[in-house]
Amino acid sequence: MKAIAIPRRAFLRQLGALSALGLASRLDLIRFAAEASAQTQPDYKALVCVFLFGGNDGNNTVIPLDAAGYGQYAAIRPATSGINLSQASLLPIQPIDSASPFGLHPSLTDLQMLFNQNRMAILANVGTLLQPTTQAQYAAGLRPLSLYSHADQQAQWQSAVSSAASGTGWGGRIADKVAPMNAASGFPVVTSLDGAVLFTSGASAIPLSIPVTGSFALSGYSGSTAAAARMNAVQQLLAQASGNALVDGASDIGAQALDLSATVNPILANANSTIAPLFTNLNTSTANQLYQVAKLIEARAATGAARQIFFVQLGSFDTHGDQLNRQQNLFEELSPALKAFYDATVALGVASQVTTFTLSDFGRTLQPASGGGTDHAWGSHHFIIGGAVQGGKIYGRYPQLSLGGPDDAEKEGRWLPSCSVDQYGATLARWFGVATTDLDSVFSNLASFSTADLGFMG
Amino acid sequence: MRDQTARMRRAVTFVTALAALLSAFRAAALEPTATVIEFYNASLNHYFITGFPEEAAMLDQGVVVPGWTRTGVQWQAWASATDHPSAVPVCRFYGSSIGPNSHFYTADPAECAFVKQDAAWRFEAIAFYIDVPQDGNCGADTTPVYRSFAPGAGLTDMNHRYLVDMTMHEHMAPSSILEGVVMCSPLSSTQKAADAVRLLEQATFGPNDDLIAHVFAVGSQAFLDEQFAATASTYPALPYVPAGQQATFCPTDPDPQCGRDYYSLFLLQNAFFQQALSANDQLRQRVAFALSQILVTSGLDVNLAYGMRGYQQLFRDNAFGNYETILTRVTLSPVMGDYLNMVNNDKPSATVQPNENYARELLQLFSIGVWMLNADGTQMRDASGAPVPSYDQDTIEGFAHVLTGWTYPPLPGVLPRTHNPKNYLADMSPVDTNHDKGAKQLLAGTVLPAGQTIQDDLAQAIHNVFMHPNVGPFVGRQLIQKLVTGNPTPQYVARIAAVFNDNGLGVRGDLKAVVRAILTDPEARGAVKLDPAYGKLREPVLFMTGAARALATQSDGVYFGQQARGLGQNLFYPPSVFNYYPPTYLLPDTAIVAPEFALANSSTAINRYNFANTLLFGTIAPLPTLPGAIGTTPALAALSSIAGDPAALLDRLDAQLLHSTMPPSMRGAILTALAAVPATDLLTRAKTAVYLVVTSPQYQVER
Repeated sequence: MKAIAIPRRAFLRQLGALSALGLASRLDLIRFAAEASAQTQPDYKALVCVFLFGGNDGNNTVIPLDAAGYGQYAAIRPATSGINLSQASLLPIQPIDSASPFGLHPSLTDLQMLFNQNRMAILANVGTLLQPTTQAQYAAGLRPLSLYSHADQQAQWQSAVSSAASGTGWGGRIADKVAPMNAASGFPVVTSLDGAVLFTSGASAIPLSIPVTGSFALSGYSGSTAAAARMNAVQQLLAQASGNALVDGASDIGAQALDLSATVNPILANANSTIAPLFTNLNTSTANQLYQVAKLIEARAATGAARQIFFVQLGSFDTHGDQLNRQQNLFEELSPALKAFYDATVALGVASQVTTFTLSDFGRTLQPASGGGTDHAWGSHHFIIGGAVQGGKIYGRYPQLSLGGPDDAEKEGRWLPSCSVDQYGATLARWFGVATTDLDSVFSNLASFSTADLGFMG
Repeated sequence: MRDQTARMRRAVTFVTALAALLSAFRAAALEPTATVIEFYNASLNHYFITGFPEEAAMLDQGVVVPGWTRTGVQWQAWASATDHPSAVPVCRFYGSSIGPNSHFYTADPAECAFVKQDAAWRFEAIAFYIDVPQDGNCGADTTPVYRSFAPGAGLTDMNHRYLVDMTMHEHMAPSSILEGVVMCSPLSSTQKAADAVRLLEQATFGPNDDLIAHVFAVGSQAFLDEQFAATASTYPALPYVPAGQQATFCPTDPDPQCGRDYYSLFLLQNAFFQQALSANDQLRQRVAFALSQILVTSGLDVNLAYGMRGYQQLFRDNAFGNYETILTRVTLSPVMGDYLNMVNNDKPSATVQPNENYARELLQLFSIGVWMLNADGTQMRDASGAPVPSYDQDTIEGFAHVLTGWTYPPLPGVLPRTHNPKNYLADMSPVDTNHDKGAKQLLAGTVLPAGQTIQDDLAQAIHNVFMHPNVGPFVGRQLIQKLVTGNPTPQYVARIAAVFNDNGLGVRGDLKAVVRAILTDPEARGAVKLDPAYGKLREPVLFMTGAARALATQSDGVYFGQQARGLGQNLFYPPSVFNYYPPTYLLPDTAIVAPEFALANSSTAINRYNFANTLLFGTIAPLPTLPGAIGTTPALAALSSIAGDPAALLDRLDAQLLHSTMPPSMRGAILTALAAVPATDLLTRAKTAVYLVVTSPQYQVER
């Protein structure tokens, strides 16, 4: 049960009044969006969360490339295991401050480029944690609830709460803090390309959900008298209180949809988007999602948003079998899409105002499983991309690749995380504009860790 | 406070006489003749009921006795002893000067006589007349009235509440004591029809005129018997095609749409919707659909139509069978084997461990869940208040070892190997030499001994899972959620779990008994549903079929398969083994469990409007590439024929789609919109009315 009352009705009413401006005036706004944006919104910032559903295998994403490190990797994942990446196939990166080189998965060419341009950082072995945890503490039972379970670990990555079920996500809670910065337009801080997800759930407003492709327009309203009367009835039915919480919930979502459709659909349908060419040849779900995000950023003057949080997702990382092929396909989709999106932010002049980052359920066992795959594990490596990122470095601490070794929680290579989701999120939130004094209310367990800033945002 | 209630008492004496006078003029009728209305006083935290319209009007005015407001709860009774042969008087008491500051009602003559002797109570009047339970049960054409007792802070603070909505009654606990059934409220014909409609919403893909009349006529038990006996629909036979060879195989196949038809689930989706719209075995299909969303596989990984056909048919064939059979069949299914990596999962080698994927989800999603449960489905807590895990990593690894050694069934004419090529034509085949022979840790401390056969290990492990005490509440709760309400009370879950544990004949896991118990439970039945958290968002598939069946829509199913995706429920293609939505999803900003709301967002909301717009105002033409296609056409003639009378049109839609609960404000808004359609255009009036009802928030939620 949450203590916060439901302010949504008020929010929606405010929004409704704004969209009474009408579609035509919105289109005018969009037309002048590019021109206006530079002067009116110098403070614009966006966070783009890319969730890799299923649990990406970090152990085949970032691999030590020096002879000793690679040797440890290959001893546990030999060619006969069916999931070995050869040393020669890895894309070399030389992190600043690191004596040894690392290699990225061979399908991450674009990300290698961003890393080498210092536009991408790697956060090594980050995971859900109650507090900094030793092997002995883990063995004694100190661990997040339902470790190794997809649903629970997804929820914990999205909520940054590992000790209980949470009704809100950290994206939504950040949105609650920065919502006043969008007050002038009332445009939602959060936009999801994946519907209602915990990450986007806060107390202040329903997230906007937009389709990955296709129309966000309401059809069937021709302008006739009868159609106008029908729309009037639709609006009235959405405004009527029912006495049933579920009916009221459906009303809130429907009212928001109708209000925002008129504003947002022209933006998504904009055939003249200047960044369209960057995505033209990438007909993947991830690229399509990031293209929608880029169009909304492009139209920020029209939406009036000063702060935006986006949720984008790519699934099927649960590679229990056939991992080499599956992860390759996934990275061949992910890597160019992230690069195109970064290039779009450069083209829009907001590269240092937009930060993109990955989350995932968990890492995977270093030890192979039957069928050419891996099983559920814990800590894993993640990417942070953007002009404001202090890139070219590996943050956190890369684990020692040894079964039952100092970083293994069990005996199959399930890494005890070197840093926590709370710290990861707080580092991004601080950059985004959440006051230092508010960080502990967004990340309620942050005080359990030694630092609230992992450094990758400068 | 006592002053006010004393004045109320005087008013009662007056209206009692008036009511008796009025009743002499009423003819005995089958329709209930009195409405009992509940009021609430916030400062007292007391409930009060009256069957006297004059008293209700007096309280509404709030002058003589202020402070009382209607709660919305009301139920039917008889105004006179002569109104119905089985009606008995209900004695109404008020606390005496030394008694409670509240009212008490009883239909039991012995209790009435007893309380009359109690100095703490004063007999006031015969409140109304009503039926009484026999052996705790209410007869046909009545619904139980449940009494709860709030002890309050002391004698003057005590209060009783009388409710016909079982869910509301159960939510009175634990602050009130639930005392059970004390009266039987007669149902009006409108209420009986509403219950028939609600049963059809829970047990079918949507009520239609014929079924509403039928259930009204034969009653819910007889209808369920018919449904249990109905012949199972079958998905069309779909041919084996070689996996991953679409590019080479399809050019050799006579079907020019070979890729679409055999390498995607298009034909299966069409068949699902055709049969949901028109086949007789509605309940079997509904239960199969529910099971397919608990024991999930997905076309995202298994896109061969013949394979998924077999997997989905499994649930229809076993929908009223035993859950242990389902667990076994699903475990051995090559589709599941492929989806969750049990197929070709071999015993450990020097570098490779058995695959944990199926082992983990078998426990987490298909049977017991991650936490130990009480019999009512709530989480068990240890002494420190922490939830108790139902298994640990060692157990997962134990099951992963049990599940080693199975491969695809051999293809006809192909020499069997230890790893056969992909083939979904039969259950997986055992390869004992690939099976781990060590001892295995199972649930509840059970350890399978070393050296057993692959088949014995599997059967004993499935039985170990099936016998776990979590299975009844875990599976029972989800079936309630899929069929009736997303937020069942623990009491409801406990009743269903008890039936799962023992069907009355000593059989555990009898789904026919479980489904019957779910649909005949007082929380499912009953004429009036007023609990503010009751019901569920119509999931996209049921939203579409509900609208289509109400309009007797003729369809080849294609439109519904296409639309399901944009509504968030791409049929047979859930995003992961966690289904389209989780059973634990909370309505935002509340503690109300509302699983289907995980699919409700601004994008899918727009698509619900657009689905209805195309269905009603558009033309859905047959697909030229689909042999026998007929497109999708709703039948609107019957509604057009009554659209000259918009009020009659809305009455009909209200009864069929909203169980006659359309609020006056909603009715007013729709009537205004209908008035804007020329009276000469009755078809557009009918379409407009249906559009506004099926897209309304009221209709999105089934309750």
